[in-house]
Amino acid sequence: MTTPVSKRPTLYQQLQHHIVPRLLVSLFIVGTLLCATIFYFAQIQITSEQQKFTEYLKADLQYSLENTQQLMQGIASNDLLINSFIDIEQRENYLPVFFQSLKFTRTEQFSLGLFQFDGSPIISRNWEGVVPAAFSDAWQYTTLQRSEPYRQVNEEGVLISVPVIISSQAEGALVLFLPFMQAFINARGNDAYQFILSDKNTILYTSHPARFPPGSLYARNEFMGWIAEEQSWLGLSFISQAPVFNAFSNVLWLVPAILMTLGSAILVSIYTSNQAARLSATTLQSLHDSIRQSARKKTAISSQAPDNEPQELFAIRGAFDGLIQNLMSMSLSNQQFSNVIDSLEEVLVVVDDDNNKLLINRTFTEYAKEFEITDSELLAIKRKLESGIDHLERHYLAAPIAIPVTIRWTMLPLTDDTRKQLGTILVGNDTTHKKSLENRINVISHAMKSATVALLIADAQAEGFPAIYVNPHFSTVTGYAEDQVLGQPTLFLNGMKAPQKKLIEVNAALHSGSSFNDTLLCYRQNDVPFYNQLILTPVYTDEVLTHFVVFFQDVTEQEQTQQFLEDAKQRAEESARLKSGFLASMSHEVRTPLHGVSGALQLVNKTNMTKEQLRYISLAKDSLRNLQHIVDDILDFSKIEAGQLGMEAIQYDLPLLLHTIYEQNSIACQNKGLTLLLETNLQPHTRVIGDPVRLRQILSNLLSNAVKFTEQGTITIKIDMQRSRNGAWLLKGVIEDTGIGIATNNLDSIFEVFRQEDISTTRRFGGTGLGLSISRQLCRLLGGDLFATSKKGQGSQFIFTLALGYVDATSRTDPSIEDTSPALGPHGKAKVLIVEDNEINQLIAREHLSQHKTMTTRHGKEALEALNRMKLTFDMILMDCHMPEMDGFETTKRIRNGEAGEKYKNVPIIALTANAMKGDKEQCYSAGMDDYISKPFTAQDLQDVVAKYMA
Amino acid sequence: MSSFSTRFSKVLTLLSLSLYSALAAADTQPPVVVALDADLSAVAAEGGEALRKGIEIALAEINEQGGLLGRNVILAASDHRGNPARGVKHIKQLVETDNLLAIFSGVHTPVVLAQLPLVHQHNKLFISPWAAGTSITNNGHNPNNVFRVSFRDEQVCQVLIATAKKRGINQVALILERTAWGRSNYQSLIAYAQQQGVDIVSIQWINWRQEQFDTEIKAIIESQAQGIILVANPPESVIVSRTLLASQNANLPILSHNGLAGGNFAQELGIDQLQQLNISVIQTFNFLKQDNPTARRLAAGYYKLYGKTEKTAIPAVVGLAHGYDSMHLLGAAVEQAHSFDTDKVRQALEQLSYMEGAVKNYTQPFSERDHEAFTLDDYFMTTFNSAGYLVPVTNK
Repeated sequence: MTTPVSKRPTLYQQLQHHIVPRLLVSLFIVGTLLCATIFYFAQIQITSEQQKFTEYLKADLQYSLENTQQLMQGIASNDLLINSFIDIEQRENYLPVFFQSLKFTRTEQFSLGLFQFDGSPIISRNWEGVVPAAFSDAWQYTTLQRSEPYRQVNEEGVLISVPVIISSQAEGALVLFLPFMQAFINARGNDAYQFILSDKNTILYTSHPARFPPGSLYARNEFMGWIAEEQSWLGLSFISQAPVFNAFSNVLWLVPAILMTLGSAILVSIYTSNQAARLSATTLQSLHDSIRQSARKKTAISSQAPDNEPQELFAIRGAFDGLIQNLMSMSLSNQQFSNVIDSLEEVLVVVDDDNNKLLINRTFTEYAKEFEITDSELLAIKRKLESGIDHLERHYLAAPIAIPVTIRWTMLPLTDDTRKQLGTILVGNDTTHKKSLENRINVISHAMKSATVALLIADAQAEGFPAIYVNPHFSTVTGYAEDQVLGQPTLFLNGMKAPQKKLIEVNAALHSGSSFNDTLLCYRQNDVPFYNQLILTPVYTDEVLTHFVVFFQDVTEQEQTQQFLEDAKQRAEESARLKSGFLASMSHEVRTPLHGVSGALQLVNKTNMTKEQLRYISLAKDSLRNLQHIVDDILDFSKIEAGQLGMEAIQYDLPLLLHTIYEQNSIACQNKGLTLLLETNLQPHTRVIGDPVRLRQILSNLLSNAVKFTEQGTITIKIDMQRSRNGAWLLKGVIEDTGIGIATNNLDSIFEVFRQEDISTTRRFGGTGLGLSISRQLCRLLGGDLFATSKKGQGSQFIFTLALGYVDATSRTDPSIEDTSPALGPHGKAKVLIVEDNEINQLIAREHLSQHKTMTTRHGKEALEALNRMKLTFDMILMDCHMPEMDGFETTKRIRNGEAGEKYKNVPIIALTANAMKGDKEQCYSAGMDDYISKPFTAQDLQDVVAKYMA
Repeated sequence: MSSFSTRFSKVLTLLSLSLYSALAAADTQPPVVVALDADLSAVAAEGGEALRKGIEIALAEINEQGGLLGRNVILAASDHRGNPARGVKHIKQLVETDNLLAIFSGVHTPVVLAQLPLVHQHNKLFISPWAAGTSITNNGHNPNNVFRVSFRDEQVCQVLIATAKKRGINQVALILERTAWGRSNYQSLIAYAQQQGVDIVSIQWINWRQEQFDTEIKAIIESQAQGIILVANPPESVIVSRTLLASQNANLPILSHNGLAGGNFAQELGIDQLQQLNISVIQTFNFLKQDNPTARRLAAGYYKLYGKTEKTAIPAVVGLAHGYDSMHLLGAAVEQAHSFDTDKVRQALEQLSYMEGAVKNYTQPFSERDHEAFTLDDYFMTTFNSAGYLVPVTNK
């Protein structure tokens, strides 16, 4: 039996009963604890405050003592005071004044004395009869005997003495005495009662001197119950104290405040609990009412909740509403159920144990009608399925034209609540379409499996685009089995160790759903690298990216071939570079000894010799000249090969040049009994722009060939200036001889490298076989060409053309190259510094310039030293370019920077170098050199250049 | 107080015992005591020590020859540290000493001047082998018990002014210590400068233990002085030199009184700093200058007692020679008087006719009116060599 509602206590009453007494008890405990804590901490704070005051008092006294002592030490080391110990005659003139000016405390009530080494006073102030005699022994011992400062504080006063030191020993003392400590301490403002007491409890200092006069005895019982802190130092007691009431007065006002707070807390609590109880009761009542109403109306609509209903009650109301709604919907019509099964695509038949159809759906009706599925057919199906097989496929043919359909039958038992079988449910699926798809997939799948291209399919919608299919050829190519690859992200490229950079690109393509095609260096499972051509194709179904199809092709062989070709190209280029480097060094290495030999021969030639010796020298010189020609040829050829031969475009006097060449060669012709003719048709252009050196070279070469291969007759030089089709001027030259001629079929091959007409020619006439080749190349470089016509035995014609610019006769500003050569003639003695590391070259240069004053240094450093050290001033410097320690370029730069002194900043510097490659000249000029002589040079070359810069 | 008398007695006793025990066998009479009261530990300790050694070498020779009138002579040394008060206290104790023949004073003129009244009050012979204050001998006491075998400020000033003039210094600045010694020189310098036509363009006083001297040096520089005459002890001389160096006026010539030579000036200043300065010091004795047989005997005695050393390296060497010569002069007078009586010995001193000394050969060194052993001819100028030792100035 439960208690009737009316007898039960209300929620309100119950809450009141439980909450209010507990609330009151806990508020009382909290209040008491709070008060106790406040008083406790207040006491601690007051105590620590007094402790702090005591420390301050002690520190104040200490500070005053220290400060005064320091002041006194300062005075004691004052030289006037020290001097007064020695200057006993006249100290009376200044010591008293000095002494009277000293002040130590706020009051004048102090005694000060200056004492001799033996304690006898020199001068004192307010001393006799004031300073208790008991003090003197102690300070005299410490200060006069031990030369240390001394301090004493007791009830008779404060005494400080400091030594007067001469040569680290006290010769006297300065002593200060204060009868009262009161004036000695600067009190800090606080309301505590502070005292300094002697060991006999006499008050030496107090913060309240009016009430406790210093010198009186301190009565402890006057301060019973005060909060006091005491410390002792120097035999003194330091006391700071405050009355207890003072201590607590700071917090007493808090007590009523706390009581009031507690009272209000009680009232508020009672009121709040009342309100809570009332609110709960009301809410529960209203819930009860609305549920009852809902139940009575039997409607599924939700009961009406008041707006301010609490969360929990609102949830309960919701649960009740849901329950009612469920009950209501249980009676939803069978109509709906029929609709549902009719809408199924599957064929559905429910039969009882007696094979009566209990339920069929619309699909069954349609199929039964179309394909004549009879009851006996159903029975047959049922029987077969009951025999234990999982499913059954039956083919039905309707009309002769229709395609047969396949229905896949399955069976389910129909049971009631007690699991008792009531009948059987037969479900039929039309699998016709699915079958045909399966066949199709089977074919494609087979194709993929047997394909000889590696294939991978990745899921585009899964995270990391995992591989979901690889074909067997994939394993053949990569060596990885299918199960190692499936599920792996990023097309398994990580597995194949593809380069990270490519992976980023592939990933980008994957994420953007775009196609990708590139060759990647990958590794098979056995770590053998291979070039993998990757073709990535995205697959979109209904515009949604679903998969990626990826083809991998092993293109290692192609890649290797390409790599090989590239390597070969690089090697070829490298080889070319090495070759030009070799030539550059050859140029220097070969010319240097040649220069040596040439110079030495020139020097020997100057000495007295027999006829026979002269003839040998002449032979040697001829051979040397030939050798130089050969070397020049080889170098020129190499330079052309290396693309290092630059053509100049400078103004020169063409008739003058032709005339000079004619003069030079006519001597050789005369010697051989040949006639040399010069025919020119130069139009009005005598000053042209081009490379005179190369023109001279071409002409000399052709002429020397002509002379060489002509035994008798005439050699003719014909020079025409013609206008070419594009309006530029072209120089056409023809060198005609009456020599041995060249066979027609050899006319082209004579321009090939190292080619003379035949081996016998080489034996007969010598030469490098490079001359014609070089000349033709030069012509071509100069915008023209060179070719030959000839008849064997009747002489040859060498025809060349060159492009030339010309200068108006009026705008003749630049001096021609010929003009730059200085007029020869007698000059004064020049002072020349030769900077050259090769001893032979040094000797040659010195000898060649024997009519001048010369000095040689072995390298740049020596040269700088000589320039700085020597008193005489050099007129010019001949500078080798390549030297140990410091080369000519560096040396020149330093001289130009003034490192050899201001006077050499602009001294003429002429490079002497065996370097003949392109760019050397520019390097010399850019280093700041003025001119350039290429080795081997002749005595004349040297003398000319010296004469030029002497002028 | 008590400790000082104790220390004094200890020194005395120790010395007495050591010498006495060595010589007691030769004579049964108590030894005669000569006292030296000098600064042995403070600002002019080297000077004090040199005096002590000079006297000791002379005493060793005297005692070897049988002492004075057949009695051994011992030396009682006390250290007044340059403090006149200590000096006076020592004299009070010394006059009570039995068998005291004479008292030798130390470096500091102020101490000697403070001691004079007591010495005369007790009629003791007082010999000054260093302190130069003019009024030490011109003291107004009659009879005058003070004899000096040392510099006399009046003479020193005369020589310094003459040296300045000879060197073309016609405008001179004075730096003087603010004591009786400084004032003693001040008067003489003023007088002789006026006489010689040398302008004193600046006068600066320096206190004992003064640390700052910049203002004074600045004033000297601004006064256009061509040279400085320095009358100060070593510590103050160092301050003056450093300040002069710091003011970039190192080449300003300094002509110094002997006071500079009484301590370790060179070491305190530093050899490098010393080399930058142009300092000349007036001296009366230097082993390089005095190469007489007595000086050689003095050197030999020094080596024997204190070990072999470089002669020029002996610190405050004038003290050594003065102490040595003055002890021998005293000894000669005792022998001549044939008595230890103060009055008789004083008269004998005033009547001495000739004695060969280290500084010079003394011909009638003293008379009743003149108690100075040296004349103007006995001074010469020295300068510091590269090792920081004083050597005579040549060609100047």
